[in-house]
Amino acid sequence: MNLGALSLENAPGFWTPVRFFLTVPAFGVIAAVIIFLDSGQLLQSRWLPASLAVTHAFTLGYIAMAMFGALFQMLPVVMGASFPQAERAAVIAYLLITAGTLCLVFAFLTQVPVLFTAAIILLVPVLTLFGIGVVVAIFRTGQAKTTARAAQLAALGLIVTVLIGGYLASGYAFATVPLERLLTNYHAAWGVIGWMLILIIGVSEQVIPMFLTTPPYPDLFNKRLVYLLALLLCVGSLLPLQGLEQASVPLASILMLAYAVVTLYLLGKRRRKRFDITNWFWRVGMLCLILGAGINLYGYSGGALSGADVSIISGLFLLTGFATSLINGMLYKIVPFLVWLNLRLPVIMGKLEPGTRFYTPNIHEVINARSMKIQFMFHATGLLLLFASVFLKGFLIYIAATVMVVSNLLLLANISHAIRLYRKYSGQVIAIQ
Amino acid sequence: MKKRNLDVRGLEAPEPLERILGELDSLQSDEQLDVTHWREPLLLYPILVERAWQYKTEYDEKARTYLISIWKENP
Repeated sequence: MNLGALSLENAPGFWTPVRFFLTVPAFGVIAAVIIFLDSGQLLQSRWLPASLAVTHAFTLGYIAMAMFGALFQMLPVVMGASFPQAERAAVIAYLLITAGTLCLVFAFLTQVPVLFTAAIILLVPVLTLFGIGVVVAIFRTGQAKTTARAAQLAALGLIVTVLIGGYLASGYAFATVPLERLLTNYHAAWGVIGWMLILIIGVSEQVIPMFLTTPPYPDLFNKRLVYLLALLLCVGSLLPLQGLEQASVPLASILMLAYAVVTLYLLGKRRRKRFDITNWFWRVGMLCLILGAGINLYGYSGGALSGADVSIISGLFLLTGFATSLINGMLYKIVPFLVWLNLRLPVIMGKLEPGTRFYTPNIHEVINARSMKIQFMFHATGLLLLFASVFLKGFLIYIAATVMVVSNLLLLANISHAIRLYRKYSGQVIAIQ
Repeated sequence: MKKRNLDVRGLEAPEPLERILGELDSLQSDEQLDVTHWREPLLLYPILVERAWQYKTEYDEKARTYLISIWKENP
């Protein structure tokens, strides 16, 4: 392993991941506002402009945004991999991804071809290069641990998702390109399983014991899950056999269920029983994963849900329920950790002059526990109301969207509080006279 | 060389790092600190290099633990 390459001087600065994290709730607000303005019509079909706009606000603006920030931080610190020109690459990637996602969301809403063209130009090259950068950076370390392998596979999954997505978007942008809607299922499968789920499963092997004091996952459990999911995805997509493609759906759902059940079991075995809000976010997330995978299985076996589209409900559980809950919970661990690390680093490294006074925050007080708890209540209530809105149409969708807006604004306020603390004390070393 | 043991398994980040650095503050030149950890502490290594500590890491596959031995570089 090339650990000599790792140095704290090369580790990304505070703002590299944080600017991604700060943007996450902003896209949560955008998605919720679209749901509000659309009056819930989007829950009727996955093909409506507003459905596609909200889906991409969540998948790119919320979920991928957080995962990019986390990867810029985790590559050097957890995997020992240094991303080439990390600081500069992160700023450029951030600007392009934010602008590109805004273009794509408004392109779906307005159906203006030039916005689709702009989204393709802004997003496809940067996301593809980011994926290649992750694969190469980890390859150069020679690491074969689960998290590193999963990040590489997820980066490949991202590239496939982006290339199919770029082609689909060009169907909207250019009259000469046919809109191949059949490809949408592959785009969604590679995005949800190949990129999002594989990365979450790989990263959780490290971060759950690290931040939530659980016992480790069973030996090789995460690695096997990651490889099996990747295999199913490849077999289901590349072999043009209807039976294989269909069999991949229930098998992938069973693997998701296994991951959720084992994670819930580990969360119940935490060594420290102190109340931890991230634990609750993860429990809600895993419950949503069970429901999403369960509904996939139910739909596969021919089940129907009183007029509701099974793929919409499954998507709601997997994206807005599972992924956003996990990310929300992890932000409450990663952001305080970054504040602590960046304020503490000069002291740890012995860089202070003798006799200087410094401030080290208590990591558990960087974000107020009560504020996080209140935000969690809004988050969970928003999800519950949103899921209920699929069946109970009418006024409920407005309440659900409003609660989601409040939840994301509170998340933004909580992260901003941590950042203010960092800004107040960073570089502010008080010399004792 | 006298040995000192520190088990940081099951501690929440960043407590393992703080505990290890706390032990190193009082570690004598004829002592070695053996840390048992569930993860490889990649963040610790550059700090040890900066502070001129020597270290060696072994992975016990059966126990799924890392054993990090740290000692002071001989002058």
